[in-house]
Amino acid sequence: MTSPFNRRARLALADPRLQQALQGGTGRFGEMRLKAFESAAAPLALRAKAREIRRRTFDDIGRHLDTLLANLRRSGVEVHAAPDAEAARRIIAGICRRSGAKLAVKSKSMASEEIHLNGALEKAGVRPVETDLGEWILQLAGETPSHLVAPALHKTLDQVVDLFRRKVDPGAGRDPEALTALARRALRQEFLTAEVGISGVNFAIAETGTLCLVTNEGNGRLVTTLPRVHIALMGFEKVVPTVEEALTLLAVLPRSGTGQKITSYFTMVSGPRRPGEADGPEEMHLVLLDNGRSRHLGGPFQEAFHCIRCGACQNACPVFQTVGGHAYDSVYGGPIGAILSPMFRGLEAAGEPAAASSLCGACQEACPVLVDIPRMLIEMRGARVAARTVPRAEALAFRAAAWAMRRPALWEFSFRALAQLGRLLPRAGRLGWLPGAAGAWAKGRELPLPARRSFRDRWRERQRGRRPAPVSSPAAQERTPEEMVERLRRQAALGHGLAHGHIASPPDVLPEVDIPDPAARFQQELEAVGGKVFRPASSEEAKAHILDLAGRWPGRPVAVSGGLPLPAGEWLREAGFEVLPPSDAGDGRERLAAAGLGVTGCAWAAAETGTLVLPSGGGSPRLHSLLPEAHLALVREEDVVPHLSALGPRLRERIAREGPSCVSLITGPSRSADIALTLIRGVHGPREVFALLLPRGLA
Amino acid sequence: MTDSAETPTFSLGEPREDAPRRVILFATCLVDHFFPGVGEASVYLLEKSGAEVDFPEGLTCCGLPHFNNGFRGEARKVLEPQLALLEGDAPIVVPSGSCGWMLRCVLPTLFPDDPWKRERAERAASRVLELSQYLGRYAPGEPSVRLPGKTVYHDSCHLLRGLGEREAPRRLLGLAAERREELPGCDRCCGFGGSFAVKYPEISCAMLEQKLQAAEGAGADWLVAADAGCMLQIGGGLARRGSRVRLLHLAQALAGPGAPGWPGEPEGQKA
Repeated sequence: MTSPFNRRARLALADPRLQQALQGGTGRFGEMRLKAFESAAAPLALRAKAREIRRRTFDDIGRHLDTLLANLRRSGVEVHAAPDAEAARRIIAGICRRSGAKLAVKSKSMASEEIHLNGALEKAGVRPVETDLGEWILQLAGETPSHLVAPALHKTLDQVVDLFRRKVDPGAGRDPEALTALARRALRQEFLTAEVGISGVNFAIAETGTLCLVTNEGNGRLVTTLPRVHIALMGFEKVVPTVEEALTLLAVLPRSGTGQKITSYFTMVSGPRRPGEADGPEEMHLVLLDNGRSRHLGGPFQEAFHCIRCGACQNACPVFQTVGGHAYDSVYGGPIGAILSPMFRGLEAAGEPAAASSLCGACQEACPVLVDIPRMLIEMRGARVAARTVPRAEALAFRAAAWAMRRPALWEFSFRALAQLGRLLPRAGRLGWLPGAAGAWAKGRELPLPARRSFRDRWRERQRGRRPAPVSSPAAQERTPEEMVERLRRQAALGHGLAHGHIASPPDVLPEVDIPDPAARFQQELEAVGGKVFRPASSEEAKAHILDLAGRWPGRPVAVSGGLPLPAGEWLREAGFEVLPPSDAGDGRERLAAAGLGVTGCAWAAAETGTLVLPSGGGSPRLHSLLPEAHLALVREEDVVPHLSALGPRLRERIAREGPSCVSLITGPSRSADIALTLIRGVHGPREVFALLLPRGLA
Repeated sequence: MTDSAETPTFSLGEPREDAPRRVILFATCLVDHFFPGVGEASVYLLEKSGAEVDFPEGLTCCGLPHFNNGFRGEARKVLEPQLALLEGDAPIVVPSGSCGWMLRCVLPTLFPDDPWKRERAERAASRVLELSQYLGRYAPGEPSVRLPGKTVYHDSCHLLRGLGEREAPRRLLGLAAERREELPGCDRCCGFGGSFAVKYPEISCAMLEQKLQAAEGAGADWLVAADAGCMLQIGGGLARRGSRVRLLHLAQALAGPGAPGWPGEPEGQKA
């Protein structure tokens, strides 16, 4: 009972602050997930579709990776193969060295945690700075993440306050909002000076060669925009064949992770800055990580690659809720971690967590792509047995029990003996000295003893003198051809092995929510996430709104993108505002950071989620919607599409035709809940997002 | 086991036309040796539903402990000699969700390389029903004698998520209980998990603690479960606390006080 997992679990159970953080955190995430799926037209069909997308991708993973690499190279991304963690660290440190980098800003990346990148960067003379608020807190504290999406879930507000007072500002207040503002100030400077930005990847779209990041704080956008060099790191399992499929996965990822319909930002990066673009990195690299993955292709654990790292299984797992992520002693904790960690690191080093599960199946129930985690936990246990990494006594006990069960008389006798023996030890269960399993059981539960008269004893007594029940013939039982076909189907399905749960195939066309009035719905959705929409009836009204919004930051410049449907720049200049036009030098970033308002156009907007779509290029710097205090988008009503999925073909076509280095999907202000799960607006990006919805004819 | 308690306590209603004439009871090793009353109550209910019950004595264990701990070969060995006893066309009724899951979902996957055994396993598996599933299908039930006071139901993980059965036990219990209420966190694991309970006793007990607190907090008189594994865990916890909440298996709750298998004999419950 003194296994490493048990030792760590004991520490976790004895830590009241951790228990408080865990109970609050996992429970709330679980509730928010359920609520978020209510907004989908057909939640189960959506998840079944997402599952199918992940499964199909692996039917032809080689082809999709070929396409991805070819497209990335065509747009100027240098792709590196990293067979193991050491190679990945060497490649990334080498790029930093060649770039003369002293400072690297990082957005949240589980892969970078997996390869323990930060230590290697420090050795190479590069200071790595984590910029995700949760990750930054952990870097200050010298700790590792304990959760896939809420890395600092294990920290209470008190602990964060203490930490900030020691490491950031002795006068730090207790309010999560003020603490977040402190972080924003401290990290802004790092963003503006870093030579290298390092990010992970959520989805890598093969058909367009696009790396997608799903984030809320805005740090992911800054890391992939401001530094001269961007390095993305990902395991090959992140590949997704098409834009549409990525959007379907996007529909389940934030819902499952943070209980949002969509995150504040979905950033689609398709290469370094293009000629004519105002900002974005000049150099871009993708490090493709194997690190123990490829050996599992085609094996019983391949399904673990379907994981999209939302953390829902962690929130749903009663063991995780009880002991937290650190008990798993791995970057990947919780149910899926108990599969991924031994896949990557081996059974000897990381096999135990697979045993530390009651196999209750709550993980699969919560999983957006319905990964059969319980099946793989059992397979992993089997792999441990085969590799002899389970205690000899355990293997012996199971083998002996199986031997006895094949001999009913002996099996029965052993219980009879146990029943008698047990009764010689009165109240044995209360005594803590019992050995092995019995002692462990008796820690918190009365020890059961076999009944003196078993069920079969009673059955025999009852049957005495009765005629035995007639034995029916094993003749064929099917009454209809349909029943026979059903049996054939079941038997054919056995070839796929055990399946937990009952998963129906998704429909060919996913049902969508009904949106009769896209413009009204767009307004409703954007305002639900803290944005504000104005619907001017005339250009005078529009002008008044623009001047009024710019005037909320008196004395500060206004950044205005090109190609707008209204002459906003002219109006602002006339009204005496300092206007920062798009510059392709990209050196106006200090001024941009001082701006109060950034005014941009918008290629399309999605009503379903209140999302603005901003491709880079054409006088539309990425930073205009990112560095100023507030962002105002001018949206033409005819560009509002009802559903997110409708963006798929448009995005594919736009990326293929014009090749913007980046398309940003923006849904509301930058936000974070990394401090004590308190929602704060305005972390690294704008605190406020406005949209002017322009009726036809006005623009 | 006697037929003395012929006082009808729970009415399953008129047996349905298509109700099977004969069923095989897979009593499970835990019911056989730790909760014999559950077996008796199951027989009582099945006979009430119009079926003749057969309990082939060669049936021992479903092999789930082996399978779930990675001893797939041993699970196969345990089940192999029992396949012959499960032949025929009678439904195989299991008064335990996890064993029912093992027989219905896992058994047919255990013999991939032996077409003959595989077919036998698949034919057996296709006839497996957990007790509440069987009763729900063939014994519609009608409101009858009640469990006095407040009754709450704990979903066993394998019945709920393995076999996908949420409604049948609730509906049946609703007929037998004076007041049935939802237990907060009803679908949260009680912490048993077989070997998990002894390999990770602290975690297992912390999970159990939440279940017991929920039941006590709900002011339940009866906590009903449909899995012998959960009953070991929850029963052991309630006994250790000296809780006033009483634990019943669904079969006992449906058969009702005074019927065969009603708990009361002190033996077999605890040391």
